Amino acid sequence: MEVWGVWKSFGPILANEDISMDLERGEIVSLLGPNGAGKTTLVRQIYGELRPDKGRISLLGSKPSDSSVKERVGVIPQECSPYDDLSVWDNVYYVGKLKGVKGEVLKERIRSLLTGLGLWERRDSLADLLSGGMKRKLLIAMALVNDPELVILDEPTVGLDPESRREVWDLLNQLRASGKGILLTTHYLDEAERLSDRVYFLNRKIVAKGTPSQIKERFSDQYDVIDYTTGRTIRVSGDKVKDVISKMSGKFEVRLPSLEEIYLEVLSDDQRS
Amino acid sequence: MTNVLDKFWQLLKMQFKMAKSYLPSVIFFSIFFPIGFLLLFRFVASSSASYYIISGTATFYVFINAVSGVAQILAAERNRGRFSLMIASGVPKELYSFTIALSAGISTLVVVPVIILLGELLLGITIPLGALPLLVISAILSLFSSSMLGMFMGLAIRSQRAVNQYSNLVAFVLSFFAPVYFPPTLVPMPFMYLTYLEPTTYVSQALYYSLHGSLLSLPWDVGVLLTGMLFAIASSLVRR
Ligand SMILES: Nc1ncnc2c1ncn2[C@@H]1O[C@H](COP(=O)(O)OP(=O)(O)O)[C@@H](O)[C@H]1O
Ligand SMILES: [Mg+2]
Repeated sequence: MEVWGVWKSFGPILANEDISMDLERGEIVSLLGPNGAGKTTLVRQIYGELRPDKGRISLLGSKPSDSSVKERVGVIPQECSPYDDLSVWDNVYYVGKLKGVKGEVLKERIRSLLTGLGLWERRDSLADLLSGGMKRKLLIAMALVNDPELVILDEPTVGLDPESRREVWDLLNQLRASGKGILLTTHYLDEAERLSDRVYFLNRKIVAKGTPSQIKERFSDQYDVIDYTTGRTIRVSGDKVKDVISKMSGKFEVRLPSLEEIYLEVLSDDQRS
Repeated sequence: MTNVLDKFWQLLKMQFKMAKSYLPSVIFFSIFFPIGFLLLFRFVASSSASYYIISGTATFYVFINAVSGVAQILAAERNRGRFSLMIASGVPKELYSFTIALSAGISTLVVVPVIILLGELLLGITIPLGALPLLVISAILSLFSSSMLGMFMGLAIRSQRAVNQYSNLVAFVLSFFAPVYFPPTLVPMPFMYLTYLEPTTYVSQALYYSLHGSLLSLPWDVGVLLTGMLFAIASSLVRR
């Protein structure tokens, strides 16, 4: 998947400014940005719901609006919910049919997906009766029913409890291992940091990109020292760390600033400039 | 093309499977609506108005059900990200809206023959057998027009709450600020033209003449079809 110089506005609101990015098979790439950063707008253009004002997007070698390419992509849109009045099985079945998956292949795939996601026992219950985490897993099954080469997930773990979040992460890792390309949007930094091979910081335009460690390295000659006795955190540069901790009496912790702190810094720099 | 038809078919099956659980009870309770209206009008109107009581009540019922039903379902679908889900699955937005409009409208259509039968029973009129094909045409077209109006409202109005409020209101306005229970010629002059802007005017006239088995229903049917097409075109122009 590749994006070249995409611009998109809604009336006076400029949502995407000159975005270029790419995604290879077998990697997880995250779009990371605060609410309103334009992540969903970009993703909706990538799966063909919106058309860019300017620029170009190539999806598995085709245009996103191409209907045949949709049979090779799996998407979980933002704030999407399965059909409450359909059974778990039917939700996956009809999306599979719409994506052109046929007969026995479809049935077999639904069986293995639902089993893998722990939904097999619930296959006949209405989607309405599932918990939030299970609904999300059902959406994942719906997105994967055509065995897509590329998976696009817009905020897949928002509102999930920690355990379900972890399960979704495991699943995404498995998908990556099976060679699929995964595009993820999130405003959770720990999620981006843990999962992604590469990250794009998005705030209307791309403000930083690279692997999480590249970004950390580029932006940090600083360490955070947490003093457990006082509960305070002090930001110190590398050469001063030893001095600072030698003066501490109780327990302490030294760590690199998280991606979150770098992210906030990058964003505030971006806004200043 | 076969691909689009196949998708249309799958979507329809999906919609009906979802409606299956509540459709029978909706239809059951819907019957009390025309009974109430027909009895009320029987007491206050002369028997010469019987045909208009039936065509008016059917029009009112179709609009109040189809317009708000379709508009509200579509707005809810938008809210739940279903349009995105479907577009990402290769279903064009227009096809998805149309299927929902159609399937939400069909439960409405089931009640129209009930209204006519109740009309025969309660108001003591007889409808000629030859009226049947005309009634079928008028009923289907009225469903088309009202569903397309609902589709337009469901897609064009931004918030779900606003959709709910307007769509309920518009059915009442279109049914009581239009010549639905009486002929358009009774409307005083400058306003008569205004009533021709309302789809309910055409629907009620088409049903009225169909009840008599009169071919005069056909020109009104054309009007109904045109209003429906107008709303369909307007819906496809809504950009989101
Ligand atoms: N359909 C729309 N109409 C008008 N403005 C929109 C629309 N979708 C998004 N926006 C605006 O575009 C900006 C980016 O939104 P979005 O892409 O949803 O951000 P994110 O997904 O990063 O939270 C926001 O200011 C939002 O209000
Ligand atoms: Mg978003």
